[in-house]
Amino acid sequence: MTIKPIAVPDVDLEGLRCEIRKEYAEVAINPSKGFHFHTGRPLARMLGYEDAWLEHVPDASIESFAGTGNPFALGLILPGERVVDVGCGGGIDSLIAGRMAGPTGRVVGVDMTPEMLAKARASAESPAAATTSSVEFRRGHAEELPVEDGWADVVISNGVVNLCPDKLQVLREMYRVLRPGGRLQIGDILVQKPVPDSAKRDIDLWKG
Amino acid sequence: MTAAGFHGFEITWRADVFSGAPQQSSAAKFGTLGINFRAMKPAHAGAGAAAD
Repeated sequence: MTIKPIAVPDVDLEGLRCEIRKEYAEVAINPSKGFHFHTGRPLARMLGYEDAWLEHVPDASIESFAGTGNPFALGLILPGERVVDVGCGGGIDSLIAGRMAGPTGRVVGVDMTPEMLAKARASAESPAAATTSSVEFRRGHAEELPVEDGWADVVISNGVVNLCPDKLQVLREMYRVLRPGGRLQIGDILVQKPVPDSAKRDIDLWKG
Repeated sequence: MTAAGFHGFEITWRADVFSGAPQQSSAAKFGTLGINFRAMKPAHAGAGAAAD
């Protein structure tokens, strides 16, 4: 079978990352501002997050939730599993995964936005999330995950792949960090109409 | 997904997750939907290895 090469949009990558960091720093610092996407607990409910999953997640992480799907609707994390959360934001999915994985599991959340990482780390250290001590957060990009080869049983992500121009590289990194037989459980965005090349170069469209 | 080496790709859910957001999305004209999808890394080394 011939695999058609996937063209990477000709967009200023550093400029795009800078604008996305600014946008999501706002979601971290000022989550009630109002964005072009839903946020917080109402969004989590809309996406089918169960109240029991959120019970031990601090409000600070929930209020900055900005996912587009529900990785846990694809299957729960099993006790003892190792999980990588790509683009973990304020840490909601990492903390839920940590709770499911239990004390023998481990979760690594990766994000490029310092304000989100600060929020995620503070939540992980709060008493409400005390049982998720196996959760840690690292700064990095989806295209170059700071995780060793074959480490993870599960890679989750929520609303992040669509923000990356080189999607094949992101998927290759997810593949690299998964163990053989490991699974990918992703919430993201599907575009139903063709996006012209001119629009793919428009950074405002990427973030909104 | 196949080019990255995955198999078993499946979209299990899709829904309009942007309607009613506080700000209008400029990308909405392209019909953006929220989705859930899954895939697996093959269990045996070399099976479905990532393409260059």
